Amino acid sequence: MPNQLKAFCDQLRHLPALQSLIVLEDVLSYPIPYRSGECLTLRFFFFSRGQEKDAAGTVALYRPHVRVSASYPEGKLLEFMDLGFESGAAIPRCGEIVGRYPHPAMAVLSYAEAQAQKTAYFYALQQLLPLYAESAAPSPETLSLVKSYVESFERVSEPAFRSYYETLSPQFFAWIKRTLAL
Amino acid sequence: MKAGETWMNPANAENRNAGERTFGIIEPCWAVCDTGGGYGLQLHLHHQYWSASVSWGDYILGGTMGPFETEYGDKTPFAETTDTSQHVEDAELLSPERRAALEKRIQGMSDNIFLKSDAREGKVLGDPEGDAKYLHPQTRDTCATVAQEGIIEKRTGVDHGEEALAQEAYEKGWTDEAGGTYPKDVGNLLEAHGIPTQRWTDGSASAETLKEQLSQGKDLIAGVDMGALYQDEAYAGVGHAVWVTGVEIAPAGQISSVTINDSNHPESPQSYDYATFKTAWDGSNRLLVAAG
Repeated sequence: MPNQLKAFCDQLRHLPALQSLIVLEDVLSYPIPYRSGECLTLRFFFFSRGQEKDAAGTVALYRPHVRVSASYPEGKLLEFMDLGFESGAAIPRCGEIVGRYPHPAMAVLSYAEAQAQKTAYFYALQQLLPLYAESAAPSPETLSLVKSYVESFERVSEPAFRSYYETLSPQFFAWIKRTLAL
Repeated sequence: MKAGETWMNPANAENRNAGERTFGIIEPCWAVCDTGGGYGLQLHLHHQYWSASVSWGDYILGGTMGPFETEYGDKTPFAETTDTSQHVEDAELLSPERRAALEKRIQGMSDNIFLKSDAREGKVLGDPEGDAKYLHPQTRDTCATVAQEGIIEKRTGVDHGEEALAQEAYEKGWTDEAGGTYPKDVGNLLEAHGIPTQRWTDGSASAETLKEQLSQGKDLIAGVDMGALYQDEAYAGVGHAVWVTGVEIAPAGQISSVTINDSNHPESPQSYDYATFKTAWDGSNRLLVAAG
């Protein structure tokens, strides 16, 4: 099955509007679903990494500085938010270091293995999206998919960014927790 | 020096020009030989798809040219030669002056040979070794800026330096405070310094585009995913700009490898197989700027 979600993210990264607003070096985060009324969107943040590696082979993770939202699956750009503007204090792209990358779960993998894990994340999320979009009642099937998603998310996502991901869509992570609690 | 001993080889700086032309495809091996009519030099060419040897002396008596003879037989000085060369026992029979004269003469001939071979499949498009001298390091997120710095230096003879160009780009709004360049603005410095550009930002650039533009003598800047290029997860998803200085074309016509000036590797040009480069290039939606 083609990974539509991965293709969606690639297309978003290269939207002409973002070519004027996001520099080459910026990295697009993993997508997090967000519902606005009947509209399902995907939310992301942009962040940068340092170029210099430390002795452990990791690079600096800088604080995310931009949030974008796009309709899914149409891919229409709905929101571009400078997080510094939102918070009232400027966030330089390469300002505050909040962590290192790769984190331990990814550092043990080869590049190809790491990419495979990211692909697995996109698949897990893609399967979950219809259920989240319609607020599906918890069921064994839903629980299984949520567990699979959480496992994948915790493997690939940067621990230093977990709170930023949760801020992107508190409603989505609340739905995850409710489902897991059943 | 004994017969057959190599006294110029690809690793030798004296043979640099031949090395530039061959770009790693052809491995020339020079040896002193007896051409039958006088002492001369013999050039063995070891290509990944063929090999040939040619001898030069006062009378250019020796030599078999393989594919060159077939394709360019009536256009080269070797058209009617036969391989009569025999190695001499002691190359010291050649005086230094005579060696120098022969070397100079052969260098000119080899230029012609390699220029002709460049028109064949199995060729290299671009001038990776020549462009290497314009390779500049980046000190922050200025990869696109220093790639343009090198091209401006090559085409105008003026090296403005990373900091001056980074400042100019920042003041004009083409980069952010850390030096990172907005994709749509890659190439603006070239234009500002009188170098026309053509740009592909919509994913329409392809391998054919690379070949066409390099064939026309253009200097190319490509956007890549640094992690995919280096196969290093630490840099996965990080965009990077590199100067594509050459591509190697396989016999079937497809690009087999790509050589770049990479400001993260200022010590020397870097070569990658095309599949790796393509994956990394896809990461930028195949962003490409052609200068010149």
